[in-house]
Amino acid sequence: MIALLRRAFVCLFVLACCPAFAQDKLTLGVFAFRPQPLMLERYTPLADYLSAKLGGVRVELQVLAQDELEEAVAARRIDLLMTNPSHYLELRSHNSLSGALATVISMENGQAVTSLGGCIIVSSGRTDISGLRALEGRRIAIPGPRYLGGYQAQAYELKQAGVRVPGDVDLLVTGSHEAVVEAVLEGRADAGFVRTGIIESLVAEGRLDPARLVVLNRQNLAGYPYAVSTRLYPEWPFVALPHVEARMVRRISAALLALEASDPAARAAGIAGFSPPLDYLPVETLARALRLPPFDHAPPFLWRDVWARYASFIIALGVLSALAVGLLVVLMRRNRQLAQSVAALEDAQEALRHIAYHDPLTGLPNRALLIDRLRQDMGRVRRNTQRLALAYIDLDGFKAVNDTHGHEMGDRLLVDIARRMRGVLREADTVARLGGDEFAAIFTDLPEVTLSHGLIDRLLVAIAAPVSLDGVQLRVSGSVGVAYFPQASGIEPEQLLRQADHAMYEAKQSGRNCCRIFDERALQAAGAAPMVRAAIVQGGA
Amino acid sequence: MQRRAFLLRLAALAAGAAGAGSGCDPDVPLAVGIHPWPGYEPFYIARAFGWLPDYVRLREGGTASDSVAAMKAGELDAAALTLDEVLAVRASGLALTVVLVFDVSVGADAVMARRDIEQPADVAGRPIAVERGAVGELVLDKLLAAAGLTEADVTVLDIAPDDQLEAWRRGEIDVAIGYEPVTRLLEREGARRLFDSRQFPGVIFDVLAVRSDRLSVRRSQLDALLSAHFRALDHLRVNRDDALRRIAAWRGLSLEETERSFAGLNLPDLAGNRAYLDVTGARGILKSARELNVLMLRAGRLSVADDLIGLIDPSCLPRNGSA
Repeated sequence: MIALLRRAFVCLFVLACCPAFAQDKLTLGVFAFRPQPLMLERYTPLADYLSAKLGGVRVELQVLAQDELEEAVAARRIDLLMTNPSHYLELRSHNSLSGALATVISMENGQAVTSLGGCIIVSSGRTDISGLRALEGRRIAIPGPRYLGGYQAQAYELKQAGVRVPGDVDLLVTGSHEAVVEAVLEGRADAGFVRTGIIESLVAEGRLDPARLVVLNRQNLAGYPYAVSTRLYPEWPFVALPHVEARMVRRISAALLALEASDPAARAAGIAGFSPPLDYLPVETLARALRLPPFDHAPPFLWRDVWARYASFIIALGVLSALAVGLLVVLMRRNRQLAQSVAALEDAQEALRHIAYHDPLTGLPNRALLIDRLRQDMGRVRRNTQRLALAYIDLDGFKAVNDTHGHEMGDRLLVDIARRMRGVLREADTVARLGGDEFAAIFTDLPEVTLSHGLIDRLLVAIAAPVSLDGVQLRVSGSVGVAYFPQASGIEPEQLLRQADHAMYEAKQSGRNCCRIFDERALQAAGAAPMVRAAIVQGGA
Repeated sequence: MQRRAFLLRLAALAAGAAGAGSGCDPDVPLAVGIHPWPGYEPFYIARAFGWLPDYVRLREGGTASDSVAAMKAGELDAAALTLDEVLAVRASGLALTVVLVFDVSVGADAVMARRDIEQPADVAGRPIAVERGAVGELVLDKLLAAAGLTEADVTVLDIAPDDQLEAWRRGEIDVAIGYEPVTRLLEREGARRLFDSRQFPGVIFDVLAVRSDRLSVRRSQLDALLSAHFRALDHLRVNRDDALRRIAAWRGLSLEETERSFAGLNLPDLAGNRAYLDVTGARGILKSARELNVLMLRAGRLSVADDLIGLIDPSCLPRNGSA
């Protein structure tokens, strides 16, 4: 990016300094795909031919490596350019070049061709390498990664055959086609990539015995004079840089197209002249496929393309996902319903349990729950060496309220009294409704039984407090019988309750709104019939 | 129990969805009949580059008649034919559907004549070689129409293009109706190109026709084949030198001869194919087929006009340009 900016800046700077380029000299930059002295020898006649044709304008030749060419283009040091097609595309992406003015026609054995390709060579002794796939994992000599015929064309062909280059092969970069041939012949590489025409040139120059090399993946192409292992690409373009005057460009084009194969300039360069420019799209396709510059960045990712290519797969995946999600939703819903059902069931159970153990009118524990709590409390106080008092409460004068004001009023009074009784009890204590106007209260965890007296007094006060319902003053009182625990002998909750009931009966007898404590000895002293006692103790009727 | 069954059904459904998009039975290759003709070369190019799907088999015959016979015998699913041949096969009771246009003749089918015959009307009373029951009859019909003549005014000899050169050399014919490479060979013998398909474009088509009863089963395989065709067509268009040299090599022709063999043909790309396989019938194949109905009824090649139902199906064409 910085290099690009610098390049742009240099261009701007040059443009600002030089409003017009002197057009009495043109510099032709040629990519040195063969050794520089050879290149100079071959292409100087072409530069001279152009000088002669353009009259008064001298064309100067510069043979440069690709990076030198790039600098020269950016710095406007060259006006005309000949390089390989993939390098041309790369240059064109960074600089505004003209389109190709012409395409080189190469010449071999009297056959003129405008296409080049790649050659894959192995030493003729290597019978173990036959097809493209056999190159996987081999050491391959190449002139350099930016040679179209010396690397890229072969890399594309291997990619089609399923061999990734450079991933699946070991590349040896030699710097020139000649060095590739040497490396293969000397066994330093298993195979070599060279441009079409190189082998034929070396043979013609007497520098290579053709029997020592074998060409792999040889293509059968009618009238193509070179051994070739790949598909063909358009030959080198001849390019003018945009600062060259349009009139000059036209004259150069005309001179190029007019060059005859028989002209010394053409013969020296080993070409048959120039053809009208070919379409360089095949090279672009190759560069894209191999992610070569200028396509070495990932192509923009388009959902549309993905859809176009994988639509059926995406649809199938979508259907499956939708099914999975649908099933999951169904499952979750079922699960939630199940959880809700369980919760509802639990709620119902809880409600049932509540109904089973509570008095529907006052919401107080009923007899069953009272007995249950009493059992728990009795167990606990026995372990903790504490005391417990059970009070049996019967309301005095409640029947009269019922008879006078009706059941509804009576019920409301019961609810109110229940509320008040709960209000005077401690946290751990229990008050229950046994039915009708009878209640019971457990005072538990008492260090001394006498501590229950105060609590019972408060209970009586709470019961006896007057209440006003619908403007009617109502007042009842309570008769309380108390039984203590533990007692000398073992005793069951039901028995303890009967004891308290008995004591309550005594309290009723002795004038209501008072409390009597059950005393077994007193009972015995009173000469109660053993049967009665038995009834009390055994729980008989 | 019921729920389990429902779940099993769902699993089957899901499996079906996963299978969508894959081809039909890939074990049975798609058999396509083909014979040498420049317009069909993209199929050969695709085969050379390994672009044809594995399950496509090109069955090479010498002529279109070989393909028609094999298709009627049930050995072929599809064949490369001319549009008039497709109509003739349909008339014989085998329903065919056109899924691809290889090429349109724009000069490839020609009338070659002795030097003294300077205009169409001059063929009156002269012996004319034409292959009966083939595409040449259309050219003859057009020639006579252009000349303002009827068949009664000329002597028609049933000679296939392959034998026309010999007949010409023996002096048995003064006019020959044929196509490349015979027309060019006659040119070398001194014949003049009197009339050709440029005078009536959009009548002679080379198409890929599929047995209509196998179209639905073979659809995904055809999709892949057509994608390969357009990829190869691209290669022929963009990388022309490479493609022509390959074709020349397997046909045993020179590069120039190969280049010339394409001169009278227009090979429509994907957009062109969409236009030719236009189902509205306002243009393209259907429009030409209506015209062929008239010509072939007149020539006696059809006893009843084709109703054109199911004649074309553009749905196998690739959806986008990339293959």
